[in-house]
Amino acid sequence: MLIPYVLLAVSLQRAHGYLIEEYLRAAGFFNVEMSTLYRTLRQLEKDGLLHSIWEPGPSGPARRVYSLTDVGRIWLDQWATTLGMYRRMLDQFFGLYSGDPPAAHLIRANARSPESMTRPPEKQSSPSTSPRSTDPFELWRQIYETNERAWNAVLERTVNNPAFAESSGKILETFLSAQKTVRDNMRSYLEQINLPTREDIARLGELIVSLEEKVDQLDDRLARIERAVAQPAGDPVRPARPARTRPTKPA
Amino acid sequence: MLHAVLSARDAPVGTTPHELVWRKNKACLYRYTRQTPPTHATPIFLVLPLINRAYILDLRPGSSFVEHLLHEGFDVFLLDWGIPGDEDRTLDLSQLLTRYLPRAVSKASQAAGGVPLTILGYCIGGTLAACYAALYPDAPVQVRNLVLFTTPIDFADAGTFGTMTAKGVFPIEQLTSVLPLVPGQMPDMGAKLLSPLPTTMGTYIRLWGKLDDADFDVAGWQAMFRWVNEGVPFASAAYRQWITEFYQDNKLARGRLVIDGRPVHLENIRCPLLNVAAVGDAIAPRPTTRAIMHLTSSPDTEEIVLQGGHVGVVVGRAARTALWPKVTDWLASRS
Repeated sequence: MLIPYVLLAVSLQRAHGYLIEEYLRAAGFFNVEMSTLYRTLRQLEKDGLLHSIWEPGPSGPARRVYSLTDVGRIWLDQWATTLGMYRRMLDQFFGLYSGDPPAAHLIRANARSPESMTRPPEKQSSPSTSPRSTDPFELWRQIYETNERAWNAVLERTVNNPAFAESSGKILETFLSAQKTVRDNMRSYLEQINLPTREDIARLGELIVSLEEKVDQLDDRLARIERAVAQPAGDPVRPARPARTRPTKPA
Repeated sequence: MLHAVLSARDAPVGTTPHELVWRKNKACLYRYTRQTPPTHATPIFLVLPLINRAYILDLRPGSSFVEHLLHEGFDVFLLDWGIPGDEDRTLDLSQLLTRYLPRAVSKASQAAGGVPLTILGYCIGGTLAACYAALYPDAPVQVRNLVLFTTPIDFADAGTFGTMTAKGVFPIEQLTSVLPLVPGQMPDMGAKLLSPLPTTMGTYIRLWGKLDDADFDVAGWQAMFRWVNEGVPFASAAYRQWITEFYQDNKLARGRLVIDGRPVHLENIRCPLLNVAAVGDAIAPRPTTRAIMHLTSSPDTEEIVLQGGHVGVVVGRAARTALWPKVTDWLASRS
């Protein structure tokens, strides 16, 4: 829960680390180490949820002051929604546990089948008509759908980062080196036991494809000749006959 | 839910009747069967992406762009690049543009009675279609109209995919020298990384949430799920050219692309142009799709920009009303 509280603190006002720590203490976080807090702040900034600048302190050294980014705002809103869902889930549990009928806000929360929560009690027990309101997967699905945009925004930022591209490139290079070794070894092995390699088969295929291309070229040439032959005499677009063979009248 | 996911691999797709007109290596040119003569003189020639199955434009009855085109009176051809094998490791985009596309266009025109064609390209298929139209402005088969669906042209600001494939970061030479084919999962993973959660976990969670909904089209979900997960490998030479010349060097938009010794100048495109783009397209972000509007010499250009993503705007449920009729209306007056 540290992250939503940090985001909440920074959303209220731009703040440096010490101020955020004071806010957290007031909210009941008594055991948060400053090193943990600063590590969290750095990570949140790296993830694009916070932005920081150095500002001179009133009577001391410069301090890093944090503010919430747009992505951070979306993230905080989603946290609020998610926690609201958890709260409803807990309320529902304790309500049912103590034998209370489902609360009105739960009826509203279950947008998929609101009428189901107002059915007479005997019908609710029927498996065919029972809503998924108490299904943990359904609640989890709602949480996912509510948060997808925010989580995806952060993931997109990560993927779009040149550092991510660089590290993916390195991973790919490593995979390709291993793949090359495997292929080289397999080729050597197949050559030793006198069997054609995959490249040998591919080369055969290439020869057939080249042969097909040559046939196509002949086909093209034949088509051009047929067009030229079919062209009525004197047609200005008549191609293919060298100019010097045409008798020309002197001017 | 497990049944819906597991049986998706057998979901019926690409069921509109068609016949093979021409084939070369793995590439096949199909013509869709019409029950009545076409009411428009200019057939439509569809150029599909290299890394996806071609049935995306003919997903299933009631959800098929091809079916819509047929219904609107067009003669429809589709060029399916097929699935490359190891023997295609040296097959690059230049060869596709000089040996495959011109012949396929010629065969389609011939089959339709020697008429000009509308060329409609989707994603990389659109980039190839634009290159073709720029390379052969005076070809025997005239390109009557050019339609591009979510097609990247200018790679100067290619978003996350551009960052991930940048020079010095992405080991493209090593990748294409070790592997004869870039596995279909790799471009797919790249696409999923552009929007990590909705394309992975979200897919299943949304399915689970909708299974009890009487209006939910499970068969439609399965067809799309099958398509998304049936990636096609990229021939390594084509992939190297795609990444280095298009993404890294941005040669097409800069007028520096040379195919088989011939420069590709987009200003050679003079036919009517319809450009369809998606605001939320992570694969072909707006800066990459916008540029074509000022790079051609066409006096008749129109752009349709829709809310949605790379695939959704073209074949999603909303496309049936938001895009397909607009495309056929635009074509009807120019065909």
